[in-house]
Amino acid sequence: MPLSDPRRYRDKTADWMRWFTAERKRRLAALVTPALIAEHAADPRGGDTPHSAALQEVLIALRSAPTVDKPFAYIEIPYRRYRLGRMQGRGRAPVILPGKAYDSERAAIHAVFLARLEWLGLGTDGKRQRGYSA
Amino acid sequence: MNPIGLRGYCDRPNVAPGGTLDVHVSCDNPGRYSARLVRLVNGDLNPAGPGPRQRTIKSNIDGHYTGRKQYTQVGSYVEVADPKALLAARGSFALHLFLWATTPAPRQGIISRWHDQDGRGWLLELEDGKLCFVIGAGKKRQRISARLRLFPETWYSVTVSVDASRKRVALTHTAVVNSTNSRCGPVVPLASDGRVEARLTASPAVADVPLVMAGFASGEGTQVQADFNGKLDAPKLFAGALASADEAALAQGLLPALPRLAHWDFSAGITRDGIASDDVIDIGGHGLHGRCVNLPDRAMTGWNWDGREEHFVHCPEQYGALWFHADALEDCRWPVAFTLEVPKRLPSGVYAVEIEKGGHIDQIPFFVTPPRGTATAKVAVLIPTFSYLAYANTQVLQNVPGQAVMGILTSLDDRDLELNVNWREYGLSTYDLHSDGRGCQYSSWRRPILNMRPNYRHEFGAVWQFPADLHLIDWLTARGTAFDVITDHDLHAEGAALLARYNAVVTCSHPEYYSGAMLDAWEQYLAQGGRGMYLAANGFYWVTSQHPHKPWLIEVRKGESGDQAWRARPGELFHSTTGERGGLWRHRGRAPQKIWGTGYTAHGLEISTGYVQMPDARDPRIAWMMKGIAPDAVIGDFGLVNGGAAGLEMDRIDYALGTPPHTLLIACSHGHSANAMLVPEEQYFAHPGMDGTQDPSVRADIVYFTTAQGGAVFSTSSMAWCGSLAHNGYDNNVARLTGNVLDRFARNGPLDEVC
Repeated sequence: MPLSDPRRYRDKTADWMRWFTAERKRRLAALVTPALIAEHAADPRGGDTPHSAALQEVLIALRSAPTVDKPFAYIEIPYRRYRLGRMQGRGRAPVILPGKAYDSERAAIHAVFLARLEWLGLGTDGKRQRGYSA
Repeated sequence: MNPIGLRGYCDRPNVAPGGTLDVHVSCDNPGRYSARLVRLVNGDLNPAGPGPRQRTIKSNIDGHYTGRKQYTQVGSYVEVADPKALLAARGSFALHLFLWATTPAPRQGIISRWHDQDGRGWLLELEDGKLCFVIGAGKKRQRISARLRLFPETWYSVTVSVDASRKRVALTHTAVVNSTNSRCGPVVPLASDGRVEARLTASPAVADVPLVMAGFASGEGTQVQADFNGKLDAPKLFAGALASADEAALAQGLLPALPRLAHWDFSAGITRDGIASDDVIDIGGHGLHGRCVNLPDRAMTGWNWDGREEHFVHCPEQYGALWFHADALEDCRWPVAFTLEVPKRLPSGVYAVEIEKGGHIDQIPFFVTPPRGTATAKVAVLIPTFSYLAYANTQVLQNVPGQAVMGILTSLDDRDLELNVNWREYGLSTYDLHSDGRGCQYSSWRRPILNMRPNYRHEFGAVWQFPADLHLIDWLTARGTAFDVITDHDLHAEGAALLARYNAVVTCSHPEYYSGAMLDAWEQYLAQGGRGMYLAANGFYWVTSQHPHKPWLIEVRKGESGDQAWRARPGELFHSTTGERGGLWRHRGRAPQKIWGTGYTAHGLEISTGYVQMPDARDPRIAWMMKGIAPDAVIGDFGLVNGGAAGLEMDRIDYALGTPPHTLLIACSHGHSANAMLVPEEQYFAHPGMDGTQDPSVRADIVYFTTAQGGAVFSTSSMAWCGSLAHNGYDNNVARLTGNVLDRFARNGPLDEVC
């Protein structure tokens, strides 16, 4: 049948991405251990000691995750005070989370790391409540 | 979040003493703000560095001003003045155009002579993906809507015919897909053509508005709702209704035997030097020429592009399209808030207009050159204003691949968030995509550029470009070196004669965007005894055109290879403003290695390292350069930019790309991370290990070679280099090596040849 309505068609890549991200999540979940989290806490940037292959793989996934709702470090006062925020997409104000402030970027970045793990359902606290969807 | 409160821009980046600079300001809330002139030395807030340094300069702008929120017209469109209302479509008339919509779903005007507030005139629009034609005389309106939706990025021939005598109105859309012009090709069994016809029940009232393509007039004023995303080609209006045979002929590019009211040919005016014009030519005979607003992409493949010719200059008849974007912005066009009269004795340097209101401060940088035709020092710092433009208001926050490139979890400040939320009013950089997915190819100085501020830290997690370049200004100032400031805009205009006034010319950290005229200038200068210091990396990379009539604009088309934020579509790599091929200079036979010995090889944005010395470092002919540096010392394993002098982006030698055979390889950086990657143009077969832990090409090289007539080139090949100059109170081996070279280069008399 000829194609007459573009609304009938969608990008099937989404089907693959659902499968891929579920599979990737299973792989990543096995990598996220207390030791890996401690490794990140000790050196979030990997400038002192190169990150392990496991942490590198997890970090690439965290950076490459879709934008909307993604936790990030908000610079409230440069080099003095940081907070956590969540991106909302172009044209929409990010949400700055009330509560804890961080007195160093290093601490804030580790908090972002933990928040993104939780957001993607990869936390180690047993509360893997959110899906990781592209 | 703390809104930024006020922001401004100046009309151009460079000014000589005695000249003037117009400043434009918009405040979120009305009220008084203050203004002053400051000289900038350093801006980086990093507590490990020297900190911000600036000095207030007395000038004519000192004082208070009344500010308010300024309107910014966003979105590209064409307007045609129609004072005799020839296009008001009274009686029978018809219109035809070719249409290629990228986001057909939301409401957007295609072509109109329409007063939206009152509903007067006529309007062809898209709504819910369907074409609609509207005729209105206030409350009495008629709307005829297509039954089928358009497929995106698919060329259609669209006709509207109004037969006043038979009281009929018809709307058609016919796909005109070939193998190359649309997203999909002829194998797709498309059945989206349509024809609707209805009894004519209204006639258009004449509104005091222009004809608008890619939008419609919001009201009587000059504001236009310009939300169309996509291409238009060959729009035309006829005095008379169409027969069905006419509709079929128009879809084949033929003209019916009807008098034309107007016929706009977007390719008219193409020359060998491109089409650097806002003019839209009416070839219909009535002289109803139009004017582009906010720079629709020009020299774009049209409905009939068949892929055999890639250069619009050679085949203008297939490049009749303009590509409009709802978020394009050429010039904020705010009124002048005040004009700075640059004092005649003001030393060349980096300055800013500082405006302040209610605790909010904005600093609007600009560059004061020496008096025209003169030099006031033996050393010049070349400010890369073309590259500042290319990066102006980058939106990496929204760019998932961008976040992956960084190698860090990013931190963002209020300016990043402001750019994210209100991006339309700030315009995009050449790193961004328009809302319809097309890369942004034009960038303008005439808008607030929030990421070109002295204390801004890039989303990459380090200072980048302008604030990073102040590290160099700070070091030169701290050591008491007399220097002039010149800009890319000066170099493009004046050429080698500008550089020839100096014994030595020093680049800033990232002169990535270059015009051919600027490359010519460097080559001539260095070949005739000039001395160049390339304290940078990823320089001289993207072909960049300056608009020949609007020097505040540049054009860049990315594609084929390189660190590409986007890729020009097939057939669209050539610049509209100059007609020259875009992409990398490397692919046009002008790799950076030919001028500087090194060229872009890798980026490592989260960790910087130091350099290990190579055997040439002990060549007695350059002992003067290495004086004070221990033979076994690592050079630059410290610094404000990610902890080292070698990082962010890096260059290396490559003899096949033109590194001079007599180049001395003094040092190479080592120890880069797994996030440091070989750049795309260095990758042929993709394979594992193209990173800083395994690939020997992921490095920065320090090189030196001499040129004719006592000239020389010194390249450090790293964007992070200048961030190490201030380490340990400016007493370190990066500062020492740089100082040794600068002092020797600045001295009169030829350098000893090293061949």
